[in-house]
Amino acid sequence: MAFFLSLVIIIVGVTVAARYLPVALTWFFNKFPNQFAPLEADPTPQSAISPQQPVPVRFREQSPRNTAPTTSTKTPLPLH
Amino acid sequence: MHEHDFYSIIITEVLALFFAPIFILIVFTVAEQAFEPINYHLRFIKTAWDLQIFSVGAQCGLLIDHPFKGGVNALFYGLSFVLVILGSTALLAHIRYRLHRSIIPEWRIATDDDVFHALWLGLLSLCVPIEYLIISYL
Repeated sequence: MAFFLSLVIIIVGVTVAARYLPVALTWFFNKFPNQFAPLEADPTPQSAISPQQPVPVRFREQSPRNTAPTTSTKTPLPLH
Repeated sequence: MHEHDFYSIIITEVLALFFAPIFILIVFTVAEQAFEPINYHLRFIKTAWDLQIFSVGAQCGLLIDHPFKGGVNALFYGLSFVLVILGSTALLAHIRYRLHRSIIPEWRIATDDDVFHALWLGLLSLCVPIEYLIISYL
């Protein structure tokens, strides 16, 4: 009896966790974005930069805050 | 077995065998997302796969260890639970195969349902060795 009761508890708990864990974690990682994200690709072609010109310096603040965009166009996760 | 001994052993073993590795798994998953940022849907699905790996490893370890501690039918339950975990692993592998290798482009998009199904399978597989640990002491 205790075995089947624990099975029911586990299945219900796992269902609730699998439903709301991604929502909570996605909200968290959007709230505190990744600080180690790569910079954007340089739009300036290398052929347009002469050796005498200084190489343009891009700072991390220019990169978007969320660099892990969702590719789901159907049902994106709710953020709140 | 005294009741206090039963619960103290269960809590200690669950803490030692499951909570500490899962904590490390979470830390390393966050670190992996830090230096290899990918879509959150795919990251959750890969984390569910990591849970599957951990679950089948823990279940096989318990299967080897616990039949010799006097558990009733522990070997039968252990092999059955290994098959349950492997079955859920096959379902999760099917989800990942569809997301990466499908010839239909729309099926390669990870949706919320894919994340829900993958995490459901992974967390259920994580609960299987815990359940086996509990019933092997009964």
